[in-house]
Amino acid sequence: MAELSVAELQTKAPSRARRLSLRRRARPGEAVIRTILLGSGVLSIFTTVGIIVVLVSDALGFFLHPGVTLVKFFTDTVWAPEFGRYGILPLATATLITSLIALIIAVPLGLSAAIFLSEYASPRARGYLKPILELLAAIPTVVYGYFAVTFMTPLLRSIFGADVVDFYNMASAGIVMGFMIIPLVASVSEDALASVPRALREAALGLGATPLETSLRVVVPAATSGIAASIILAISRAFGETMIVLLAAGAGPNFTLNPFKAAETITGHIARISTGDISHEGMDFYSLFALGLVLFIMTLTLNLISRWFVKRFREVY
Amino acid sequence: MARSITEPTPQDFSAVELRGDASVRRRQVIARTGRGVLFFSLVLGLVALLTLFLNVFDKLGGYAVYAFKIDPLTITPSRPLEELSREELLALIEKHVPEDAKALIPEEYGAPLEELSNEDLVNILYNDTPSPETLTAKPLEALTREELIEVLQRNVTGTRFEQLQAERPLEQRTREELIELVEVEVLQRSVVWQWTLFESIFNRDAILAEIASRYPGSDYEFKWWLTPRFIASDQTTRPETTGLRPALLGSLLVVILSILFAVPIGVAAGIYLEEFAGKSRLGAIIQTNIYNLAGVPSIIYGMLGLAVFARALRDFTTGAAFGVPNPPPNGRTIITASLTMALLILPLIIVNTQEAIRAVPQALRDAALAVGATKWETVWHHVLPVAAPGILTGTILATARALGETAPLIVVGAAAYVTMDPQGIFSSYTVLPIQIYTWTKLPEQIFTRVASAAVVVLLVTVLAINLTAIILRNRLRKQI
Repeated sequence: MAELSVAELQTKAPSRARRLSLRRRARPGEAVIRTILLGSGVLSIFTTVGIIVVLVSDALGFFLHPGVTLVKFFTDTVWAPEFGRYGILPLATATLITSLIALIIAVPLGLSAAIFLSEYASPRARGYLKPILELLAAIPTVVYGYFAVTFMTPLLRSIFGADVVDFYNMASAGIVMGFMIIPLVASVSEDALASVPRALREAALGLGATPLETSLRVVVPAATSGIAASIILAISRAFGETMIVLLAAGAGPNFTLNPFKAAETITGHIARISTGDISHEGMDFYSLFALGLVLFIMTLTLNLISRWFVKRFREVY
Repeated sequence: MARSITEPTPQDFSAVELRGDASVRRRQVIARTGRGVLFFSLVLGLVALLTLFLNVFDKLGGYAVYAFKIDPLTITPSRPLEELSREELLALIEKHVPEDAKALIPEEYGAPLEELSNEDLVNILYNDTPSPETLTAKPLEALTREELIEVLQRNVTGTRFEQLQAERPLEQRTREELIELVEVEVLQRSVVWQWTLFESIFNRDAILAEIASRYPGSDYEFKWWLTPRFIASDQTTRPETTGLRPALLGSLLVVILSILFAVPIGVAAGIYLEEFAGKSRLGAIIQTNIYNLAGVPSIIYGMLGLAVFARALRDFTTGAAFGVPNPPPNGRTIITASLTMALLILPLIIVNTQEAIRAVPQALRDAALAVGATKWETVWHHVLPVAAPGILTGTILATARALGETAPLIVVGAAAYVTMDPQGIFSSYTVLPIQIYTWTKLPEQIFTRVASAAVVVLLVTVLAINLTAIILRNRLRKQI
């Protein structure tokens, strides 16, 4: 419609049409739509700002409490709000141990699976296996938690003895978390390996390298940054994982390095404390946000590093 | 690498070949082993995940031994002994009084059995039988449907009776169903022990022998946990009677609402970033921000929802501002959960929308713009219709994510024990994954069996949704 009227104007009154700048057509409708679209985009910024504001302001309520100092928060080995002890160490070590176990499982398996998929599998096999990986990545984490409690824990207890392995233990949670992360590591690494130019492989094979030498000495080094990104993403995922550790790792902070003991992670603690009828004021509530802030900073840093790796890797090819 | 080039002699060739032969063979062995190891890792990963599925199915059914907590005869209708005729009393004595006690009767009452008064006969029954009250009680199987319903009404709480009526009016149920209902609800027939599915299939004879020796005379059957009754029933505190309906309806409401909130905003943001932002600074900031949001742990979204929707906006999210009576405490409502979940799936929808729009050929836009369409007309009439299937795929994936996500809803306060269906958006609620979490966490082992049925429902739904999305996407790729 609008175009028609412009055309009419041009035929009927050429002098007026000449004054009409095509650059500055008055289209209030378009401007409104554009603003709405922009607003939707900006909403995502509000989400981030919201997360930061919420975490920081409530964490301030925690850190400004007279009984809490930053030094004690990061060095005290006891987390016992009822006694005024707020040391993040027991929760942080549990997070690190479960994540470490998960990575020990997921990185070798996921990476090997990725190399096999990208370098050895026939296109037909890859066509089936890639969607399976995606499906597996979509399994809700509470299902993995169920698996940890009903399968992995009894298995560990029957292997190592019930007196060695607690009913809730970090090993079970960590191993199952590793299974959960395999598809993530495999699919991100596979993407990285697959985007290494074919010429590199052909050159190596042409010089007489075996397929394994080509994969490990040419393709994998060429995809290092993508693979590194996948591992960093996996760490970030492990830090933030909640349901598996909440179900299997333990229901109380415990400062221990023994993976067969029960210990609560940062995420597990946040989830368990907020399950009850927690009041929306008070130190219990604020302390959760302090923990959330630490978790957010850790995962955000890891994600930024991972993004940086991916960017570098994209610039190469 | 760089060597001086001299004319090779025939000896040189054979030497190279020999040396090469040995090392090439070694390298090929390594290469083959390496290939084997890589393949083994892939298989190991798949086996681990297969174990997960088998473990869930293993818990789904199996031979179960039952016990009644209450003797059936104590609850069925009975007549007082005093109202019985002489013949009935004599028959009862003949049947229930032990022989040695019978022999002592003439001595104790001063006359043979046949000459005693009715009163004395009643007294004999009261004194010489173990449970005189149940002598005239009919066995459960002999009751009529009306009597069964009456037994139910007398022995379960009023609310439970209403729940059962609401599931399906008792008058419409068959006698067998009513008997089972009485057994489960009133007599508290419960599973004492259950074997796993694979044990029950592969070790059947050993299990039946063990039942005979360890639980002689007790009731046993092959019990499945995933039944239509389980899916359609309300939640209760007992594994035998509990059901999934409130959780299913809760999940349905939360997922639909969060999709309704997130899709329009997500698609709009995706359109802005791809079609309008260009290389602007703001666009770049939003883009980076979205990638970072996608990596934020889900529990952090829960904390955002807790602080903003459940606390700051409590009056709105509980409906108190709109005059809704009896709001749930702490803003634990469906609307809080949906808004939180919407924020969580927003990045997913935006990124998928962007991908779908990026895949639309530039020629379409150029053509539309060339014939004089405005920017928005181009997007609305030409880009979006082509990108729609891709956007739909993203939406489907987001649905599956919203269905399976648990941690944020724990934080914003999905209630563990909700017996009623959700009544609306301001009602308290539970969802499928929360229900699995709660049942798994309970100390009674038998609840992990109940949880397995819920896990299967969740897994099948989530995987089916994802599979649809993957198939849809692969078709699209072929078309483009």
